[in-house]
Amino acid sequence: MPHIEIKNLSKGYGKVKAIDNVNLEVFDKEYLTLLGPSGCGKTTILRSIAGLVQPDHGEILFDGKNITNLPPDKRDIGMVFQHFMVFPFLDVWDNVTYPLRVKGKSEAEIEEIAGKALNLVGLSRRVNEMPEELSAPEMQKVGLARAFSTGSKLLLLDEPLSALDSKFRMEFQHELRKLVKGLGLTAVHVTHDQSVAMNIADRIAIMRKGRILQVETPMKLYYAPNSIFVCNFLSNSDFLEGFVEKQEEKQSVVRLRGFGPKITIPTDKWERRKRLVLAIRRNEMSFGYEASSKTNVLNARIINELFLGAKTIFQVRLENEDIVEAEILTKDIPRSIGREVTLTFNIEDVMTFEYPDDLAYELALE
Amino acid sequence: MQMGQLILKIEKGLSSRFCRIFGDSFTIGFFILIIIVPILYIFTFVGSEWESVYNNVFNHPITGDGQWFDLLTALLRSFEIAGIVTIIDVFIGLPMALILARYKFRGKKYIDSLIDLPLAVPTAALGFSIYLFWGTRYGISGLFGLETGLFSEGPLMIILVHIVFTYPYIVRNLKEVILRVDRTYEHAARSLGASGFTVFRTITGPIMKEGLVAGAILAFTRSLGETGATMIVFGVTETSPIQIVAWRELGLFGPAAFLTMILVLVALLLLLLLKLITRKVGLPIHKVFVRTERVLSNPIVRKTRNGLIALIFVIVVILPSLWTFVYIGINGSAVHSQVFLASDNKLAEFWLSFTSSLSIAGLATLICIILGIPMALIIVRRNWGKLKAVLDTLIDIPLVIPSAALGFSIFVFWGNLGPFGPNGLFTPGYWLIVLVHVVFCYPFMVRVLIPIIASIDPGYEEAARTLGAPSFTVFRTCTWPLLKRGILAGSIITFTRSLGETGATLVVMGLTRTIPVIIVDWVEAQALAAAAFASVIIIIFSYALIFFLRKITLSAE
Repeated sequence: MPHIEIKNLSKGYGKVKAIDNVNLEVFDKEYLTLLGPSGCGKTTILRSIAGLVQPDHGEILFDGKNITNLPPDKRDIGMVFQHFMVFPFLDVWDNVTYPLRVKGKSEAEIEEIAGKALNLVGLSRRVNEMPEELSAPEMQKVGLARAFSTGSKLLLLDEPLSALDSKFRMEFQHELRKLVKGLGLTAVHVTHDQSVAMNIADRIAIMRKGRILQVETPMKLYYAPNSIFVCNFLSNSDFLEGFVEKQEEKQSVVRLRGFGPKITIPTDKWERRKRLVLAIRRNEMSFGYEASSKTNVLNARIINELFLGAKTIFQVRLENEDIVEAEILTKDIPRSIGREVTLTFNIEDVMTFEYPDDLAYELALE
Repeated sequence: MQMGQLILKIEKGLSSRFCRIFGDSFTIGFFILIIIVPILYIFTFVGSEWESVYNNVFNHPITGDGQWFDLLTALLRSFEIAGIVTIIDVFIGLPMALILARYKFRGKKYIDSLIDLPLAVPTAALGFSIYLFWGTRYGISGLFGLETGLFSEGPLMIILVHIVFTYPYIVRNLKEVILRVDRTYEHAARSLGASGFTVFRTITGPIMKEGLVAGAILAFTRSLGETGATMIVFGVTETSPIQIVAWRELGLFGPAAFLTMILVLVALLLLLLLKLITRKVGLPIHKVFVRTERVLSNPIVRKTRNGLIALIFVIVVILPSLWTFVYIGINGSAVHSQVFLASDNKLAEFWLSFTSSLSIAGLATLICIILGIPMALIIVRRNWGKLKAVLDTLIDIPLVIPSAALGFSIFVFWGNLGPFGPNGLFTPGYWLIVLVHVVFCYPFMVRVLIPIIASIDPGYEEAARTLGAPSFTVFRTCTWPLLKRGILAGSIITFTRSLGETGATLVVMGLTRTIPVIIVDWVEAQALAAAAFASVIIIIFSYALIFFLRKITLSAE
């Protein structure tokens, strides 16, 4: 049932605008993540939804009802915190029953609802333990069960996985999504971790400096980013600069700067002489001569290599002195520094953006 | 350059193992022999003189067990007063601490420093001011045209006075505790559906419980042990510290020693309570009164509460504490005639006691700095396991013992009744006052320094060690700059404590006088105008000193 609309929301701290005129809609039973570098305002949005932050402007609607001025305890939400915030002086059972007790539920209801919540996270047998006896993932499970036992259909998650070891993070994130979907909850999840967002979300809202740049499914964001920042934030890409030399049917040819090599791009939407930034994901590149009508082939010289195990990152220099990094499967092509190679990638894999006013700003990851 | 090298060479020497062991033993030896042993000596004294104590207290030829009866009455009364004061303190102090920690409003800075006012002022001056306000026709009753004070001296006025000087301890302590509470816990509770008041009771309460209990015990011991202000307002209602002073003056050493022993014992029990029990105190947090607490969370209720607290603060704490100034404004001519014209030359007496007060406080502070720093370092840094915990507890002993009892104990130890034979090592007078002041100021200095040293990241010092600095040089170059502020803060507390102390000074002063003592003397002699003069001067002086020192620290940053 919860359907959240955020309209023209702004919040400033002194001179800094934490969020700046943000609009966002979260649909019923949707798992949405707010993704962005730290300080982008994602937590402020989440805390505004929870009522822990009072916005300067704008409104928040739950199912069409304006709740902007309601205190958190009257909003009917469940929230999970980065550092768990499992009350240290209460045992597991008292933590999980807390929302029921403060709402004055009867003993029978408390037993039933909290029992179910603990069962869901698999901690039914540990009700009498104190938080200090639990491991970090268990603590977060208590935090989750506590949020479930509010009975709210809206789950707010503030970096719930970032205090866990990477080993548990994977496991936990699958379980989390399964639980949310199983209970039919609407979830808003704040994270700065791209892979978590990609794995867990139905849709991702990418944020930067208090604004939402793009809201899309993970696939669409990855394959069709609407800005250089989004592209760079979600994938390891090389960015090259050039001009449209000629337009063909459904594709165009771009000449890299410094009268460099030509690259065919999969669109004819840019006019001739337009200055562009091309982005090619590093893992889409390979070394070889598979020249065809569907590939771009460039001459290059290896200037450095970085062995990562299964993959190796090669730094290569193009004819126009531009430097490109390619991520190649190690077993495929053992090469060495100084060798000449040909760099091959599909025309379809080239993403194009209008040349921005400030390229360095677009490429900065903050 | 050569000077620098010389310093480094000396520091290298001082960093040697031998010097370290010597320094540690000296620090601990001083602490044990000068501070702890004289306090505990009272047990030996009472034990060895048991027969005479018994004959005095329980089996006196004239009074029989009358003194035991008096002693018990006063002791119970002291406990009752301290209990009532502490409960009222918590009720009016907790909301104030909350306001100061959580709310933002204009003028908060000023309220914050007004709270400290009773801390900086000698309790005798404070008690006198409050006495003027409630108990004389120059005070509040004058506003209604009454010829006598609103209250007369006695238990009620003792309670009013004790509330004022314990109030800052509660508010300060609780404010710090509230500031340390991780508010995300409260946010979590709010998001789980608890109203503001419920959150405070069930989440904030348990988190700050230890601080609350510690603050309450501290206020309790302060009230239990206070002498100066109580002497001014007690009327005929003697409390235990006053009884010690009175018996000491009458030369009734037996009963005084017995009472001292009981008070030391009680204080040690309280200390034990503080260290062991605070953790285990349970608060009722499981039952939630949803409706009532929703009403209490209502903004209107909250605003009313804040207004009420501010009103109480002004009427009970601030106005009475500053009333001496009003009194002087009204009775300027009386001040003039009593201080400057009267034949007993009060001005000279005032000046003499003022200079001895300052030099005693200065000396005591200096000694506390020199011996407090190594002690704090030992407690924080040395890996001595259990021994460290023991030292950490022992430090607080002088803090919880009523200063009159402390003074009496030390008077017995160093004087002609103690282990140094019939002539004693110190006779009552200037140097014994300094010694006593060092004893009760020492814990304040160490307590202030401990958290500051603990908060210094040992990483810096480790880095300096790897860069080749010997440990003493590391201390000078890395630790000292970070410690300076703490030493200043500790010095302010130590100095003002020493300046304002009455009970212990009365016991060991001999013919020397300090400012709080002459205030008490003059009030007893009904020279109110002269007492007001002394009070105002010392209040202004204390405040100017604190202001000045704060300025220095701020500009040094």
